Amino acid sequence: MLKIENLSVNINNKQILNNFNLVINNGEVHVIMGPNGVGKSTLSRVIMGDSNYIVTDGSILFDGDNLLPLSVDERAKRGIFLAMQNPVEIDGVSNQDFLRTAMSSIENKQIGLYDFILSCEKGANDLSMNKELIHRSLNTGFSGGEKKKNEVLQIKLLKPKFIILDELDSGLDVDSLRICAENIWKYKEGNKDTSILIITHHPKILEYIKPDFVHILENGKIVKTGDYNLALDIEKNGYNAVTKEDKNE
Amino acid sequence: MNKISIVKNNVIPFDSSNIIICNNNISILDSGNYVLEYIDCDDVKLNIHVDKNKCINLFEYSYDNDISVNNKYNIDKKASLIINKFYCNKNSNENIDINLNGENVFVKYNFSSISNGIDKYKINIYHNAKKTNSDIFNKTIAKESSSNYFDINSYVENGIIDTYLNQSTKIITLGDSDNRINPNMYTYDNSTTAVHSSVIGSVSEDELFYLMSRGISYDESIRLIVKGTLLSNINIPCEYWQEINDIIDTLGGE
Repeated sequence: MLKIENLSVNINNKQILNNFNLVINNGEVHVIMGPNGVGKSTLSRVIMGDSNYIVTDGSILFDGDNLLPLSVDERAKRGIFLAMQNPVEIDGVSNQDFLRTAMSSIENKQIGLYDFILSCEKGANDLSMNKELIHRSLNTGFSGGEKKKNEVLQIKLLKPKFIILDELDSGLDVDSLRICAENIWKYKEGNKDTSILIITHHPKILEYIKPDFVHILENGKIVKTGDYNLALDIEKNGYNAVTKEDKNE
Repeated sequence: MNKISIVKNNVIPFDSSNIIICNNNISILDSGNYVLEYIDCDDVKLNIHVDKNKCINLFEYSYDNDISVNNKYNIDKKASLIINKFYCNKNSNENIDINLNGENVFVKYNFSSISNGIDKYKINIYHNAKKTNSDIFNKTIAKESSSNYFDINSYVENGIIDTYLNQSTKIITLGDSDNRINPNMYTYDNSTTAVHSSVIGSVSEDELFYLMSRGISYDESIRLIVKGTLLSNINIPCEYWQEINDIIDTLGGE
């Protein structure tokens, strides 16, 4: 599904990703962990097409096609979804208008109001989400948890095939994290080929969304890969201890 | 709803027990919803009087005029005036005075506009009595090569206690345009509460990235943001809803 080869990325003339490689096959769940500032969020923004990040070398293939020339909306239409760490607040743009426009864009047809309302209500119910939020300005005045639930609602409505979760767990209480993560896992179980890339500092989310691979990112490249136990090891011993052995080698 | 049409700079008289019209003097006697529409106008001068204890919602609409407006609003004791206003003119040159003449008078001024040419707005709010409130909200979309100048002046003399002044103006630029906001609050009484914000800038890159990351095209994202900015600022009567939406829809992706 996603193949990143020798990717190097700059922002403000500073190299963030350096000869980065990653392959994610259909249906796989990958996790990227690493200390602050090593390029985890950069990776998510580059995949999505944020023009502030300059790709200086390498390639990103999605379903065999070169992703780099595509605009942000074209990437989303291919099925890529980035659940953002800090979803932006847009005052005046109603969540409802936004969601319906996004659904119509992704499905390339006007979504009927009745179908839209039904989908929204079901999604909001599944997420124990206050339905009033559908009618408010997009993310404006939402709590941290409400913003993240709104991101997951979008996953349920837009039905992506590759989901990037950029620190979904930040700003979420334990109950909200469980609800969000269970909804994502349920979505994945209903869409077996959907792949997920999780960026996180904490293994708690991985209790609900089972990873196939856990990678440690340092200095813009993956320095160690393992399974769920690697995430537990990181939490217990820290990044330095976990990667020390590899560095000594 | 009472609709007052201003055609070729003159108020068209009509029978109503709620309004007295004499030349271009309009006295609103009963609480309720009113509309002022400017049609083929270029030089309008109105005196609008809101009677005491009345609550008035006034919607003002001007489209495709090359217009100069010099209106005075006089609001009597314990009355409130909520103005919702939408302009999309060739050019606008407006100079309005809002007089809060009695205790506990409240004015809320919500103005949304699309600027095509040279638009100049001077809004003077005179707090002539204690415990008066003014909320001024301007939101403008500045099209390529347009000019927008806002001078907003709130006045409170010494001894006019417990007043509340709020001014908020935002101009979103679509391309190169010349814009200026001068928010002035001239208060000589220490008990005044004053709040203001002024913003001039293009559509936020973060907002665009977020919308486009959900599959929404650049043009459609701009349209959503512009529409949201303008429409969230004003209450529009049903009769004007479609027309104003159609006007805004022509802006996407310029």
